[in-house]
Amino acid sequence: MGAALLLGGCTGQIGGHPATIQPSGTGGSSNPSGGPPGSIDIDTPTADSVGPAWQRRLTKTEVGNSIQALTGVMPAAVADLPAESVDYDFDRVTQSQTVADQHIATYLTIGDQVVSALTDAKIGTLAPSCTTIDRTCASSLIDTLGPRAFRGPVDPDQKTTMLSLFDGGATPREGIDQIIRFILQSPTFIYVIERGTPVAGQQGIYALTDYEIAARLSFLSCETVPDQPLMDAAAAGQLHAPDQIAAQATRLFAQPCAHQMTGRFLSQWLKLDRLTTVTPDAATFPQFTADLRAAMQAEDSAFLEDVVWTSGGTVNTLFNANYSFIDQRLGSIYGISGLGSTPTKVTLPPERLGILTHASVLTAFSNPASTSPVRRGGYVYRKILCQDIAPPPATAGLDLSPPMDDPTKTTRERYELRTGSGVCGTCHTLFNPIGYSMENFDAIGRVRTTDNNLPIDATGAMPTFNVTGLDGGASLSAAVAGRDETLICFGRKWLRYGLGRSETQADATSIKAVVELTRNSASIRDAMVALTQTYAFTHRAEAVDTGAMP
Amino acid sequence: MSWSKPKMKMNRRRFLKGAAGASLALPLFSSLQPRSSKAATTYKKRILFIYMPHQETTGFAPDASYSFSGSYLAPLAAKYASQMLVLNDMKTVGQGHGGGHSEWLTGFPGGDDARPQPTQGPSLDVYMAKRLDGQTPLHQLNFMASWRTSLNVGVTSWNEGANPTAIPGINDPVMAFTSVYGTNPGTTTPGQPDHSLVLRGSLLDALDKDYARVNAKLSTADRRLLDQHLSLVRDQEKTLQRMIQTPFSCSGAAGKPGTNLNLQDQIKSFMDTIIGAFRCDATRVATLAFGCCGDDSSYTFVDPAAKNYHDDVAHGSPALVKKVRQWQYGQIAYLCDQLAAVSDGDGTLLDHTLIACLPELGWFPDNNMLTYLDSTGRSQTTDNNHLRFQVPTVLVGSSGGFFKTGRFVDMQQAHYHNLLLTLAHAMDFTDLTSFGSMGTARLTQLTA
Repeated sequence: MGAALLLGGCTGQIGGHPATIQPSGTGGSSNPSGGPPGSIDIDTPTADSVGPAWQRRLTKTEVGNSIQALTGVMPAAVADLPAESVDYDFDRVTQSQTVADQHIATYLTIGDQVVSALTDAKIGTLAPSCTTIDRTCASSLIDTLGPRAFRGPVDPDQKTTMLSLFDGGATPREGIDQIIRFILQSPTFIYVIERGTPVAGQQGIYALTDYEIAARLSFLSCETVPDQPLMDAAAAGQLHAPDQIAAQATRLFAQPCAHQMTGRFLSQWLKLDRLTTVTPDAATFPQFTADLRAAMQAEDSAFLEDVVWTSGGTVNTLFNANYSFIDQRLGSIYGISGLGSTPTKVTLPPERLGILTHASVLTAFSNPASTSPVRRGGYVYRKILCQDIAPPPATAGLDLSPPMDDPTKTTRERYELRTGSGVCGTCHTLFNPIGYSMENFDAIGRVRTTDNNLPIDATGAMPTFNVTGLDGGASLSAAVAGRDETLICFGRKWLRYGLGRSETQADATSIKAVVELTRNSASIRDAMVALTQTYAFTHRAEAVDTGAMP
Repeated sequence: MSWSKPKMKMNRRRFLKGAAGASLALPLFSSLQPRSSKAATTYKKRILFIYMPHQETTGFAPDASYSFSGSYLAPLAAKYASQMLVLNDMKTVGQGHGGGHSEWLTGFPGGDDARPQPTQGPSLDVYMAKRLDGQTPLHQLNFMASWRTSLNVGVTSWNEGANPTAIPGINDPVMAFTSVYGTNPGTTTPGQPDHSLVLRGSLLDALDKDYARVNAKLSTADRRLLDQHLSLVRDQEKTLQRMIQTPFSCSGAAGKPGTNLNLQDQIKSFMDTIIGAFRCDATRVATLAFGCCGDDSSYTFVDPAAKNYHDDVAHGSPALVKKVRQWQYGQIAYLCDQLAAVSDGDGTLLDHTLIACLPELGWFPDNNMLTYLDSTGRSQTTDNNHLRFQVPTVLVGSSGGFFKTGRFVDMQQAHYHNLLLTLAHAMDFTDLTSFGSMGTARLTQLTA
């Protein structure tokens, strides 16, 4: 709390009031990170409450996977769907979604491509009564394909609509095609429609139905429509008790697609994809090639896979693992020789510890020709510790350009001169010292002792938490690994990713349930499954119309 | 008011700075000027915005005698120098990929590189399309040759309002073609629609009902996206109805493009579709992006080393930047050739089309070291070649004599947003008094 007072003007109301939903980009004018909510106090109990969100659209990936699961066809036009926004850190957050002409036009094309790829024989395998393509087949197709596509019973009105589409076809096959097109473009397929049943005494709160929970579990774990066991469990009313949900979640999380999901979640949280958007200056760093970048990415993937699935690691392991997976291309950067062409598990040299000292992160949060303590510190402060920083004030004449080159100074000194005091210093003093502690790594992640031929000063601090005495990236990693803020940040981000919506104070108790496990050193895998046991996972709140929407 | 006091200057390499540092208005090739500067427009004005990814660099501008022999604009200037206005040194608000991309046609930069969303819409193309509503079958065309991973970097056009919703450009040439001509161009006669159109019509009708059914069960806020979806489905129905009742026909249209086109053919196909749409007056506003924000397409057809526009070209080699730009301006020359070959009213389609080639980033010297004066007047040097302290532009076409073409103009830090406003005035929306966060005055130094 003292820290909050100290921050004063640095914590902006970024992206909306915690208790309400804001449209995508609210506050985005000045908040470079998008619009996640401000601070959430997980120790303020919010039993039986849940954050609001409007109905989420299936992502491009979810649409493709689902169509393949339902029909066996992966239509090429899925690639033409607009890419998803990555506001709120993740690509599946409903508050950042839009729907545009190209979506509608592409859904139409996708429908056309699916029906042209389906032979009569193939249609015969989709429904039991489709050995002959006729009206009986049409009805059977609706009853078979419909429920899984819609993640629940087909509404009688929908069935009537589909049968009249069938009747409008010039041939039975044309009618069947119309039904398939309809199923794949219906709102009950394209959107995660959740209504649930009203919770007594809780205005605007609904308990999800078994089918709605099945859909959440399936889209969360594998980005696709529920499989048959999940549909069967929902039909049998077996997705209400927490242990039943946990059993399904554990089953689903053991599938290969869940490994991919974990990789996507952690890399989006840790902003590992940023590496693909930066290019170190070729003159300063001729060593940096596309090949080296690929080696950095391979290290991250192998590391995350190991921590979550092989070693049963905790959230802290991400930051304090003294090992990683290096190939010979990266060996020169890490000063490790005798490596092969695929990533091999090695003990890291003492300067390195955990993901924050991976070459990928150190490179991604640097300038092209020099390090950037501001980027590195801001990254750890905002993304790993979930601390808010307001954007630079809109003061007339405030110079936001990077500090000038100066051969007589270190990078640290240049940044300190520019942002260490005055108007800029008000906030930069909170996160620059975090970045300073990583100054013993250069802009492509090599250990260094000098900068501009001057000795490095890699001492640092986390003033917000009264942490002092940092010296070097490994000491920062150890400090981050020990902090409750890191665990809370994981809990918030996992809820945000898992539920596909921005979290609010109303989710505090649900977030805390996940965080408590991580506090007790639960594995990341168990902490992820724990989300399915929360009130927020099995309930929804109606979106709040703030009146600010377009 | 229309002139801002120059704040920035290049160090010694100041780009094409005249000896006195004054505006370098080069000789007007008056004999080659468009025939008329009539007060009343007797034909339809069209505008095409072209998004040029990444930065401009040395070799952008003509020399002091308006010769383009050393410029990578040469492929365009060889034939069209007299119709061009080459502008340098406009100031902007946004910096970096994110700032430049979001500010591009809105004048309201926002977000960062991964999320270049403007704080305010509409973009200028959308504004113009709304003003022209009902005059043509289609509002506007919006094509983008490639996308990266996040939606917003592939968006140049934005709806109205604060934190506007995105209008992603169509990035598939076949879909672009179909958006103008329908699925089976030339086969539809009024009142006797193609059977596939009938099927699609009944499908859309069924979807319309289903969205309405579902939406009725949700609160207004809950169905935010679903309402938007339903309204887009209804737009599709209306378009389909129009195609059935009064099919848009455009004789002599380029054929339907093939699938899986390479980048060159994609861009050419997008251009052909735009030309056809302008020719048959399907729309008067179009936006074409050669690539997205921070484009990383392969340009190996220009040079084997240009495997990745972002890495190998923009960050890798000033020589490759020039080569890629030279190729791009060659494509714009192709576009002009095609437009010039179509007669339109009292002239050609080119005479009546304004082409605005606007870059994502600013101008940078070959060594990527920019010296500039900061807000306190101190000289600064930076190796950050993502800045937009000096934004250049190429305009082609006088827009009916509105612009005095055949010139290179050192804009001396006039504001880019004033250019956006001026483009609106060129299209006869002269009642517009401001555009973007800083556009308040027409750039009179450009007008005839």
